[in-house]
Amino acid sequence: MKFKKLRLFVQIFFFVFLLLVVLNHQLEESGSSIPLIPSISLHAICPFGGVETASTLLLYGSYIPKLHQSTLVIFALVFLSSVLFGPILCGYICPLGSIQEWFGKLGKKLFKKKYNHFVPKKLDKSLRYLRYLSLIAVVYLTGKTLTLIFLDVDPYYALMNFYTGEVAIGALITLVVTLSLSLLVERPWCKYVCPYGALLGLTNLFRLFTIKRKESTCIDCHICDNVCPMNIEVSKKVSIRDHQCISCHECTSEEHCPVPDTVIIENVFKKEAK
Amino acid sequence: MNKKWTIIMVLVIIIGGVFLTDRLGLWETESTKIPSKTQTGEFDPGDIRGSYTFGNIESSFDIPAEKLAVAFGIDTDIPEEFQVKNLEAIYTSLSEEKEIGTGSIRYFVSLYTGIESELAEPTWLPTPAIELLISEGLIIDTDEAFSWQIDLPQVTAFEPDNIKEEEHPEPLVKGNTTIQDLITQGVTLEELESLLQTTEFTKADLVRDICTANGLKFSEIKLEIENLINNQ
Repeated sequence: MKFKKLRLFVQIFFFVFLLLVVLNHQLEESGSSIPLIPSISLHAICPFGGVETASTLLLYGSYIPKLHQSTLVIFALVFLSSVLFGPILCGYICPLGSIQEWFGKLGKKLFKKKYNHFVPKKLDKSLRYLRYLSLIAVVYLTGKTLTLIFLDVDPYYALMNFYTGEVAIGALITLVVTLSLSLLVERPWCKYVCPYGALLGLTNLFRLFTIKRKESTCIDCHICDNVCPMNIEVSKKVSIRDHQCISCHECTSEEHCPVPDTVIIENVFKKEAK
Repeated sequence: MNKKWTIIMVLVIIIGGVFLTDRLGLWETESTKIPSKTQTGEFDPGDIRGSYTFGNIESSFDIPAEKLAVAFGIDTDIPEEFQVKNLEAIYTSLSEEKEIGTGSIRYFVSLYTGIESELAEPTWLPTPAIELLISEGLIIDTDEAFSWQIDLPQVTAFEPDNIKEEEHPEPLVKGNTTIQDLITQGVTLEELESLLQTTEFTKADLVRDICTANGLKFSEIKLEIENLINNQ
């Protein structure tokens, strides 16, 4: 049985679920609620909150206002899953990643083959390290100010709360710019800015189950390169250890690779496929 | 391993992990609405925060939410959901010196329960609150509390949507103000050390907690800090 639409289903599920969580939290203040949806703030289940409050916890033994123990729990669980299977959160769960991808589909229709190839390769490669600067800046400034300073420019928070009146104008602008750029470049926020993606991306370097390409059966069609939203040249690697991989599995034989059992998910202890 | 099992495993780790930590009591999605305890081991009325509801107070101090609503003139069908911080928004028509707010609730709870707290200082109480305390035999008309009696203005029925917080300027120093917040507002560490009479605090500490730990009156320190900020 094929599961071609599995990723889209998971993406839509989490997109709708998180929107309902935010709506439920709003409704709670007026005494009503949506059945089966937990009544919690978005901050309480944001795994990046765990990164933001880590330094405060270490230095002062307290959480940043609005963050709670649950943010640490969810951060640990997502990090554990990434160490095992890579940043699945980026490829399947993050609503900001999903909506960039959906805008990208429109971009593909508009710009055809030019889409996702607007930025010169050399510049693109350098720009991709910006997200580490972004991670360092967010952690440093949050620790210094002891407030959720990233909220002022966070497009994810803006996306989920755009109708609530609680979003900073800077965050709304970042969201609009991100979505506009998604028409030209696939997942621009994920590639160049996302501080959480930077951290999770590092797990690609040591994840236990990685994506491997069998050279013996590969026909060098380069379809895997073309379908990768992060522009990773899968066809030139045997094991995908790129820090930008989002574990979307688009390159695998289960998705776009035309040769069965050639681009596969396999544990690192299994001998390299030849 | 195929894609389907990878996703199932990840969802099991995340969703299962949340369920497990919930069962273990580690899944806390909000700050606890339980006040700290006094040296005698009772809940401290002085630690009631603006974010507490009448329901939270009922749980900790055994004062029915309905009684609190009557005492503070709140007309609502859901008294347990009324947040203490909304009092100031409702009673804006009172003069500046006569404020009914979180301090009034602390004082009332202290009188009602008989639990003494340095942070539950005498302050204005609405007439229905005084009447309730008298009818329950908790104060008599010669007590100090009686002199803090204030008549309530006519207010509309409480509905959460009626509260327009933006109409009321945020106080500069609140219960959840940290040392870092004050530094951001231009107060120097030296000024704070001098006011708080200690250097034993971190930037993440609440001003209110430092006051409690050092036997200082938060309300007085708060005014002094606000003066510092306003005089910059």
